[in-house]
Amino acid sequence: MGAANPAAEALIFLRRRICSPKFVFSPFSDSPHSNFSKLKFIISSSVTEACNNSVVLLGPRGCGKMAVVDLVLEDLLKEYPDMISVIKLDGLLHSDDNCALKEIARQLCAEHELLFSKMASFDDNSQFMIAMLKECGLAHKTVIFVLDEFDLFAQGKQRLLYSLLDAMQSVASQAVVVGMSCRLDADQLLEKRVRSRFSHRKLLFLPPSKEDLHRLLKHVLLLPTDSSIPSDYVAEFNEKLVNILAEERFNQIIDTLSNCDSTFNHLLRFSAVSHIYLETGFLSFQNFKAALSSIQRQPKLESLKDCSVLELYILVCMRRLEVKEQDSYNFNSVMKEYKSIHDSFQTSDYYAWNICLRAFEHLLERQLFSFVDHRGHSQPIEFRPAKLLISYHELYQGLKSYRSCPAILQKLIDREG
Amino acid sequence: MCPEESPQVTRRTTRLSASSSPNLNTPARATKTSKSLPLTLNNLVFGDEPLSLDDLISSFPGRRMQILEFIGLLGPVNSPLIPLFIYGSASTGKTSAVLQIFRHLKRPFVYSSCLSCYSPRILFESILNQLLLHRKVEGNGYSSAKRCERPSDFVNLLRGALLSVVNSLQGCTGKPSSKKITGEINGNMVYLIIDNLELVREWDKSANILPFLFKLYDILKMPEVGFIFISKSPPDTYYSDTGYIEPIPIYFSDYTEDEIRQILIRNQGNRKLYSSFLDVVLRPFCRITRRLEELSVAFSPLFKKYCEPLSELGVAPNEETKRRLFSHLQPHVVPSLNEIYRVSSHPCSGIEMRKEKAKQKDKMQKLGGSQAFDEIDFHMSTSAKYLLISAFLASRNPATLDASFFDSTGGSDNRKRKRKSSEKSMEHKEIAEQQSIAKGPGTFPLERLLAIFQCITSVAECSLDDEGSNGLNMESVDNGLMSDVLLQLSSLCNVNFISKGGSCPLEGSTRYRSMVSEEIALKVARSLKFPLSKYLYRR
Repeated sequence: MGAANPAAEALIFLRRRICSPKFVFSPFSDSPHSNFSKLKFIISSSVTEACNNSVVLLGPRGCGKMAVVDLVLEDLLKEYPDMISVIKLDGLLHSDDNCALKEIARQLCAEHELLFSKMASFDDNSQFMIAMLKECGLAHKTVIFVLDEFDLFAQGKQRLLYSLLDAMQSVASQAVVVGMSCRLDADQLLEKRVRSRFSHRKLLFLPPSKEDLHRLLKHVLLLPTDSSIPSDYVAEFNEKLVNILAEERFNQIIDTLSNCDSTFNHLLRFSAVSHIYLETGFLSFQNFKAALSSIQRQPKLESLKDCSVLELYILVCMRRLEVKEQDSYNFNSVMKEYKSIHDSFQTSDYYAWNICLRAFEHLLERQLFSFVDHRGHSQPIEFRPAKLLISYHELYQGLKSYRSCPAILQKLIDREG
Repeated sequence: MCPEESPQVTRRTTRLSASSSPNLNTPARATKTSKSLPLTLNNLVFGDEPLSLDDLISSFPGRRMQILEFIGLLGPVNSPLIPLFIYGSASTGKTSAVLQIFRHLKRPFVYSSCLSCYSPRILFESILNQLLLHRKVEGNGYSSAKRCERPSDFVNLLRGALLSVVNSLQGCTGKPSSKKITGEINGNMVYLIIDNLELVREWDKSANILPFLFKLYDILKMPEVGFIFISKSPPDTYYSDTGYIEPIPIYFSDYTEDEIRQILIRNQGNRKLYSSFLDVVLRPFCRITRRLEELSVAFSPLFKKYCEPLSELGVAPNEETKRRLFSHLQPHVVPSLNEIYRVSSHPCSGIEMRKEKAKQKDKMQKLGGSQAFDEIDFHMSTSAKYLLISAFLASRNPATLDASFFDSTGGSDNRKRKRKSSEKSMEHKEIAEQQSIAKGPGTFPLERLLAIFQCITSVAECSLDDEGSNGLNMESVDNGLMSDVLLQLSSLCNVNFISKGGSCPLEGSTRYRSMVSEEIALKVARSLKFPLSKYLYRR
């Protein structure tokens, strides 16, 4: 008991918070000009005024589009309890029209407690959907379609989008279509006839600023005083956390983190990782520092450090072939280069052809180079053209940091400067 | 004769199944099904004896940091989890460490590998079968619980299955009386482990399936599920154009030399002896590869050779013994470096085989034979060997020179006399040679292959008739030529000695390409005593 229990409780509590997007994005919905209030206004006005509407939310991944939509819908369901029904579709799953209509029919049946038959055909489902829309319109009930990965629906013939937006054109129906996409040009992908039925409302979600990131961290990590965790632990935890967050070096960490990827998701992963070792029972600066290094990885350098000496030789040979401006080379040319290096420098690492071929295949598994022709299995492996996937600087750095790297390799790389 | 009976048989039946009477088999089937018990929630947990943390860490040398990191990221019981991504190269202990960690933690999990589930449908159904506690037995015709092909169906079914499992877990942990049934299961969360993720890239619909798998956690929106991905390639090879929700990475690096030594010594009887053996061989072999499975296979015959001078193997060696053993092993280390990937078919007699080969090498050298003696180690019929050689020649030689190589006498006696080549033509030759190395073997149509084959076999007939005795073998080749050859061709294609390409748009016939290297072709030709070098086009 004692200190371990409140720490474990606090840990579970914090992790639960981090993994629920609704909690994370709720403080950003307060200000009047935020996307939350704009979206809420659009949907609630179409509910109250019984009209149709469509809007698209655009922004990079991890900026909270889905969370904001969930928060808005939660609020609206509380305000107008029986006047809204929600249908959620995802472009990854339902980009095929058959799947999409089946899913719409299934969700409609589930909501209105009707029997859903899996054997229903495409025509049956689409007629059902149109009939339901008409009925809902007559009953003054708004149907809200939430389409995630909107750009994937815009591939192909866009039949689903057309039928949805077309059904909204009739006077009897009341529907709102909310599309979400991480492609900023998602509305340019629409066909002419779909675009003409689409109201060009766009809400842009931008990656957060530095102050927003700080606010978010405070919001997520500070324990509330009215939870089941003992209050003196909470007070001490919060005090230590506030001290850390105010430090300058902590700001530097946040700057490094947001310089490469400033979305919320990245920050959340960072804070999730920083919880691993709560040895003293409280968060310390070391936790955040360790989390930064484990989130920001350099996989290519790690792979280079794991290579054997023979594999490094092959990589250096490939690099030299690239320098000689042979734009397509294969394993046979690499072996020729390898032999010429051995002849001119008399290295001790000269191995047989099949050994080098196996090392070549190991490099392929590590994805340090790849073949140029995909699905070109009609040629034996030693003739397929290959290209390196690491740059000169990465290779140079990898060789420098390699334990017991043969000096000859560094000399060969250095020559080209 | 019996037109009324035939419409009843709607499915084609083999003679065997039609003749076996079903009555005899049912008693046996009934006993079989009664033996397999139905699956319970306990099957979701690793069933062996419990494992403590110290045992876990000591059984994976060099993995202490990764194990602790993984357990820390999993968190305490019932804490939600952002998806984890474990990566590292082959045989670094990813799968085994993860499974043993779950054995230690006693939490329910579902494991499926993309190696055995090689299509989306099999992957989905395998996960659902495990969650729905369904076993494929003879009784239900080895079918899955639910048929699931598309991701949309999978999400709905998965949600239902997960809810039912989580509810029963919560119900079980609530009632104290049911502890007997559940045994020890910690927590209400279910973890889904998907292994060998890099193989999904080669599936047909990989552009949809990979983002779907990474986004599955967000689509489900259930905090009681945790996702763990294991892959050989690092996470940056999975980036897609429109981005994806990145999981938290954990890296399993390759073992260092000390860790390899620790691991290899663990299972040995005489550790000091093996350690002195590793002092000799580990460093040179690690320059070639650092993969554990390849090193352990390569070391076992060498260790036997190392222990040969010792009379008893249980003694720890002193300095003088070590020096003796070292000098005994020394001449064998370097040649075996070049044979590191050779796995002998008779593990106990590997050394005797090498002695025999050495004897035969000496014999051949006395007769003035060629350098690399090795025979081909597979069996092929004579006509298949000739077909292979003709395919090799057809790929190597340009088609325009066929007439000069394969004239009616079957020889290349009338080669042009070589003129002295100027510098420019030498340069041309070098460039052409580079191009031929780059391009690889060429394609040829079926007719050309058959023409060369007929020409070669007629030559072989003539030469054998000259020698005398075995003329009978070749006669049969000529008679049943066509169907035999086409059968052999398709079996050579299946073994990947000849690859079948797409059809040429102008001619409309399929083109073939030979995939064997010159080394193998020379070996095959030597076994037939066929003068291959006379027919090869050399610039």
